[in-house]
Amino acid sequence: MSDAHVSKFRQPLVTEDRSYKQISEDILDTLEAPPTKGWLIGFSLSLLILTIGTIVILYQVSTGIGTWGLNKTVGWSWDITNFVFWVGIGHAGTLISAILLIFRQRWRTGINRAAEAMTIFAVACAGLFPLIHAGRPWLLYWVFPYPNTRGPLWVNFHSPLLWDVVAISTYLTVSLVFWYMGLLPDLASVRDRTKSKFRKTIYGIASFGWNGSTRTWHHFEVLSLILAGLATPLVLSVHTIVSFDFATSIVPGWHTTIFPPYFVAGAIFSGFAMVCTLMILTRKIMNWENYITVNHIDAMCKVICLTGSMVGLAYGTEFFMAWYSGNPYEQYAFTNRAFGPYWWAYWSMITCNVVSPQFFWFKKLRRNMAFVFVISIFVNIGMWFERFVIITTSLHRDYLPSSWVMYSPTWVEIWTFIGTFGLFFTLFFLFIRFLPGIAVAEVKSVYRFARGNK
Amino acid sequence: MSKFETNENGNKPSEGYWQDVENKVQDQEKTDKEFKDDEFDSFSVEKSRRSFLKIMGFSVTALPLAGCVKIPVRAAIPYLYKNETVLPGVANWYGSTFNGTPVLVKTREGRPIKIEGNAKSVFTKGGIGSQEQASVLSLYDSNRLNAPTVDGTNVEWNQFDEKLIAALNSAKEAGKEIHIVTPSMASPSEIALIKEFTKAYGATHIAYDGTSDYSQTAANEISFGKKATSEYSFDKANLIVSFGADFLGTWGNSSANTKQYVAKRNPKAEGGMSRHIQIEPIMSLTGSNADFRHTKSLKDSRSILLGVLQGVTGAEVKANVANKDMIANLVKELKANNGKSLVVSNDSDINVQVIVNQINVALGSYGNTINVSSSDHKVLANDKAFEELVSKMNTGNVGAVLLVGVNPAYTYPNSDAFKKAYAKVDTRVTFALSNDETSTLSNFNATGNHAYESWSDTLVSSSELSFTQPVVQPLFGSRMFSETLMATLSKKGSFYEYMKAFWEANLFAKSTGYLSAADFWNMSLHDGVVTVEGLTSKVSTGIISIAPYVRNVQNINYKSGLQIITYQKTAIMDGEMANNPWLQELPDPITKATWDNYAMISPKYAKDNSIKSGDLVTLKSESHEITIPAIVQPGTEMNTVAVAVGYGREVAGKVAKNLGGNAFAFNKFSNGSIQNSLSYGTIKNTGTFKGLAQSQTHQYMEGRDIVREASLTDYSKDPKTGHKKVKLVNIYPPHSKEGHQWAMAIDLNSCTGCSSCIVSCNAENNVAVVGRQEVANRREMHWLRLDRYYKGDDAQPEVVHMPMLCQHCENAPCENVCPVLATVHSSDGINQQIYNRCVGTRYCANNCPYKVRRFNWFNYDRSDKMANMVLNPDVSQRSRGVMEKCSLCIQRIQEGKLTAKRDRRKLKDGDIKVACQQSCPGGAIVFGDMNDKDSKISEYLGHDRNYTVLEELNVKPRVSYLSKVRNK
Repeated sequence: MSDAHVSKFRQPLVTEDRSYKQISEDILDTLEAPPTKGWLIGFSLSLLILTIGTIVILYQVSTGIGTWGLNKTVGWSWDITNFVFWVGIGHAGTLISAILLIFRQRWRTGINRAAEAMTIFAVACAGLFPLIHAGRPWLLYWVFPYPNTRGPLWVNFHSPLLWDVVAISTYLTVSLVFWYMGLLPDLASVRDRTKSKFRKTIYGIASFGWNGSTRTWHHFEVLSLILAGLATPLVLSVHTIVSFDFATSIVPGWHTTIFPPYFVAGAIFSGFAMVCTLMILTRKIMNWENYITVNHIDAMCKVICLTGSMVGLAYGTEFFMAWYSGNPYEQYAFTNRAFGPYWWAYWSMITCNVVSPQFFWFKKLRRNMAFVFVISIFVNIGMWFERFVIITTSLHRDYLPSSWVMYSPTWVEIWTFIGTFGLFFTLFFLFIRFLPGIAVAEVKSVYRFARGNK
Repeated sequence: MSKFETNENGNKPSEGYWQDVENKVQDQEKTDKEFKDDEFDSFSVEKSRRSFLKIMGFSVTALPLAGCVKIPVRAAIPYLYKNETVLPGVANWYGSTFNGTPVLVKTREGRPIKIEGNAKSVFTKGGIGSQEQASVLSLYDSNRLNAPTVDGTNVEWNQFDEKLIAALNSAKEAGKEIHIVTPSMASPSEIALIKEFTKAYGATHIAYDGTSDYSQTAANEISFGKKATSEYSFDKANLIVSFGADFLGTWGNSSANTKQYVAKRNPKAEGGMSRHIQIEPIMSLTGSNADFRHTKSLKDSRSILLGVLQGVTGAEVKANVANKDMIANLVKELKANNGKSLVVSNDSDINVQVIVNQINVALGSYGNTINVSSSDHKVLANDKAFEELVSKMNTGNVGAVLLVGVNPAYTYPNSDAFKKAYAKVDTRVTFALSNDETSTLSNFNATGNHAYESWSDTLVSSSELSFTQPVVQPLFGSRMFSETLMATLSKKGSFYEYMKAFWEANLFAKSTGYLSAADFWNMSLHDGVVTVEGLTSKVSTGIISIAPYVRNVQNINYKSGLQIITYQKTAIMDGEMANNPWLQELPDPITKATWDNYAMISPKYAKDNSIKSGDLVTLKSESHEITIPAIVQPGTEMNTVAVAVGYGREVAGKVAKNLGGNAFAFNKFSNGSIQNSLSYGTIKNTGTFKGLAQSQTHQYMEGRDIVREASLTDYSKDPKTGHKKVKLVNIYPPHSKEGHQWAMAIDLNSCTGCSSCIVSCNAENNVAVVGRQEVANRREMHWLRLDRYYKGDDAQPEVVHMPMLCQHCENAPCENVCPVLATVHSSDGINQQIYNRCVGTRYCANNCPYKVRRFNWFNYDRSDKMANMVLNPDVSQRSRGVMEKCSLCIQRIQEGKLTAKRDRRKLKDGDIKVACQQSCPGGAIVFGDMNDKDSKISEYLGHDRNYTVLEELNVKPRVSYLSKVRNK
């Protein structure tokens, strides 16, 4: 149906006139169709990388952490860098789902499903690292405070690693519930539209018998708000707690109070960049340009610009405080970062994180998909380097110069990291294939936005 | 009970419990019939709640029982007659000797597992070095031979003896010479036995050391007319001037020297703190401890020595204008310390040593800081005699040579010449424990015992005898060399009997305070050491005509190019113990490199020639070349390259094989002695980078407050010089300070950097050896390390050594961050690491500012069952993925507490000695209960030089240090 009236001030959130039926078709028909060649190639490649990664991880867990490049001075490097990298990426999805919901930003509906899925997969990838980085991962269940006959022996509640366990597991749980609950109406749609009996059964079970009644919808809305309320503080707290892994230690370069806001800003920064990367690809490949519009990308780029600038400000603050503090260890840590043997990592970080988001001051650049895609990749590279710089350069030269070492990763660490991309993309390809990639029901609910009611 | 009787219930057995198998089968059939239709048969879901509960109950009980894996029973054989002396869990200690140093061997359940110094020794006062600590592992070397060999095949001992006697007799009858070669010996009974052998076979006894002190022996003969040994008293010297002598590391008995030296390295020492000046072309361990160290080429050092000679005795020498001031200062200080000074040198040129003797005589050192004596109970290495032997062998006139404990095919400078000459000898006998370069060329190998499987005695000083006694039966099919000699003399009985008889016949008479010979023997053996006067005779000293020797020194020809100087590393020495992994993995005190030797060059040379540490270079002289990594070493003279001997072994166990390059060939026999500085050569960068396996690669303190130092002048004015006041705020309540509170203090003036503590810790705590690659990956497992920092100029650096171990912080950053509470604080102040609980997240190691934690990156190789015998049963083995660190020898603390408890007395200071503390020859480490106000640790904690490292972090370490004071 065509609506003659379009708002002067607001942009429509679906850029073309589509009927509700068409919206359903656009998004859900791909689930019925056989997999495209592109999907098959992408999925196979991801699965291959995942397999290689799995073999490499099995080798490492069975042989020892010695297969990595770590040593007595640098106890963490790629393992925790990757962990923080993936956890950080996850924060965008939760922000889009939860915080933007509370702020009533209707444009979130085009991207929130995929973004939340991205969060789940990113947290899954992240969660792998605390598991495999432990020297005896088969005993890692000891971090849980379960009743036991050893005293009882509890865990160390002073330890940031324990707070991590709580934070990440809470985050994963809440995200999963939120995401899945949001999926229910769409799964019901698939169930209702599908011709295949098998799919009807599966999606029927998956949609928990959704009947679309007013009452159900009412419950849905209330639950969304509650979960959004729960998830919102998580956006801030989870990465704050991750930053405490470093901030509460005494390592020069780690021990600084700026870490919580700095890390949270960085997480949102990298998360939004990853969402942009994925969405620019998805909208093109799935022909969803009307749903994941240029305006969506534009809005996300503004967030990237803001958080990127916050991160840049944090870099400056750190450097200033190192000098102002007069603490020789802190001063050395920062001088070493910029001019020591890992200077190339530091300057990659600065270029990618401080310089690149500044381009997004310009509207034209924000709305240029190719440009945004390239910048978003750089942002993620930069953010990976930020964690690497924080962790590795601070550790490799700390208090006693007799322990100063160099660190370089082994092929095991490199392939483990690449393997997590395999995991991430395998899951994402599966998601695109079997689940609605856009929140159909929510898009329909905001379709009328900026259009006259008729 | 038969099946026809009734049981106590009045039932026929077949009706009730089954009595035997037949009954059971019968009953089973019966019950099967009875219960056939009952619930037990079917497992359908539709059945009643009762059946469900029955099944559940059964499964819940059965599954865990099924899951219980029965631990297989290992054969446990109880004692029928318990060994009187072996009590499981309690160690037995035996006095013994290794490398001329009195030791105590700790055995557990009959197995030697640890070596400590024998504190009863007047000579060493309990100090021992890294080789002594590692000697226990050499006992369990699976490379050792299992039987004597004749022409390469294993034989029985009686066959061996038969053949050897026949061979020796045929040599004797043919009128050919027979020689027996040993290292320098100081064993009265063994020398007596060898005398019998030489008499019986008309043989001569020659002593040969691969790295000999012959220049000193020969010089003594020239200066004082007798083959004599000098014994030093560094503790009586106010001024020590050393021309290259590494007396704290590889020159003389370094443990005894260290003990004496350290006694005067205290600003509050009696008679004042000593001053130590070192003049040398290469950085030695001793040089790193000097108050003033001058990097001078060997030529310059000798010239300065001559200048000192002139200043002190008035002898005529060529003037040394360049070093005029230094010479003048030296002469002034030496004269001011007349009778309380000591000039020593490691120069391998006899003439230089004669000069040194002359200076010491003129300064009145003899009788004060040096005592020179000769003894019939010592046979000293004679380079000249061995050189003559080689030429004799070459003529074909030598019928038999017995090489006991020497490996000339490896250590002799002209190895090819030796091999050629040796091949001309019909009967070539070695007594090697494992195959080495010489034994593989011999036709008889009388596989020898390790020291701890042997009887012997050693005159460790002029009046102290130290026993060597077996603490274990020969582990391999070997035999004491002395018993092989006895066999050739067809002597009955064991060497034990021979030695005991010798003692009773010859030594008892010279002893005092023993009622009978048996008493003398038993008590001495119990103590491990005994003082017997009259075994050496003093040699009188006097000025000689020095001019010819001055001329000789001045006429020494120095060629152009790099001067190649060979030296010994404190751990490896001459390479005999090269197959010992503890020693190979011990970081060299100066270079911190392991598992390799290298061409040591000065920073300036490296810069000018674009060589960096780790570059593979070819060091070539006119007669020899080796390809080894280079190392840029501050304090090396510009035109000197130093390379350590003891590497490049071609026939050795798998640990030592093909490690580094053989530098012995750079030595040369010249002017009567084997000299280590006569080769000149070039270094060529091969272009390949090999890298070095160093435990430390950054050498500077970066201006950080790590080692606090002050000059004596400043310290005397203000004891707090170099210390700073740090204001600390505490937010946590302090730990309770009741009961015992363990603390440690390390005196940086007493620590010389010898690294004996590290080997001791490794032995005590079952620390794994990780190998060269892992050390290069910066993953060595040593709980205790020695940080070595340079200060000042690269050409003439000042060096500090700092032992670093877990500081047992009261406010430990590691304890806070472990998620599973694997590291906690004990009530007596120890930071504990609980291996079983550790899941290996490594946050504790990241958070440790001292970086003393060690992670098990792999399951380290423990497949050598023989080597595993050395493991300390009191310390658990750590699996892969677990963090470990210094525990302040908690097993020793427990043992001490339990012993005191058993003896119903209070624990007193000195009851508990941690491994590093016990091993330190300098006594630098002090450990004890800080709640005991009379303890040594309390004294150290209240000392004006006491401080903690990184104090401002407020981690409150229990390990503190006494700052370094240099006599400047």
